Amino acid sequence: MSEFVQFFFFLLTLIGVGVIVSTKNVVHAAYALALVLVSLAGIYVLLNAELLAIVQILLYAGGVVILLVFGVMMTRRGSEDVLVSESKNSILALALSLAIFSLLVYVFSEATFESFESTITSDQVREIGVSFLTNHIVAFELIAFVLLVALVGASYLAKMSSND
Amino acid sequence: MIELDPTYYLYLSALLFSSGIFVVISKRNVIFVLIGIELILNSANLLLATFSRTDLNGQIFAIFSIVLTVCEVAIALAILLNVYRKYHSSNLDELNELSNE
Repeated sequence: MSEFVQFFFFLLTLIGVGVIVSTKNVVHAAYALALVLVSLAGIYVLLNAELLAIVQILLYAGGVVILLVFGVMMTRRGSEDVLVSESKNSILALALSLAIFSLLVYVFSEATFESFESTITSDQVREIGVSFLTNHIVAFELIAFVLLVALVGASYLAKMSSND
Repeated sequence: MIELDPTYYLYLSALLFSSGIFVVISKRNVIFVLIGIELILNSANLLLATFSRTDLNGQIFAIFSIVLTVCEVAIALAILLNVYRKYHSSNLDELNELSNE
């Protein structure tokens, strides 16, 4: 059963990646990115990382994709119905990405890993929450500050462009 | 929990990374390039989740990286709005004010 679920999410991810690579329409690519992100969240659940899966759906599939679709909406030229992206250097890019892919697959197939049985207890959300406020408190506070500054800066930049 | 072969996750991560590279190099629209960067960051997160099965620190690192990605996309789109007002285009090849042409 778990192998079937694994195969299903792998297939969804591959379909999404295929659509992103082959399409010219930016909106289609953004929705295919949402498909990839949601199926990666499913893969995280299979990997026993439930909190990461929830954060992935909340922030990526809920936040980033919406932002990208808004970006498409705001930068569409009036004359065009859909925002279409040109492609350039396709052969060079294909050669380079195939080279990187084969290199990574070669390295991964040569390596041997120790047993991957998970030793994490079922109470991992609580453990992560506690370690956010004990072991990783500095990083946690810093990232909260970075997020605040980035969002304030982004809204200031966006306001600047509409006032002018 | 379920025991699964980790190498398939590594291959999937390699595929996400290389297709992200392909998208970043070949597509000419700013939002498309951002989508490619998202793919690359997700391949890194998938590796972190794969190797954090005996230790929660990988998951914590991946959550931090997701939050940083949200910051990056918000600021990139705010910059893109300003660029679009000036050039009326989101095509990377038309943003060439500093060149001689």
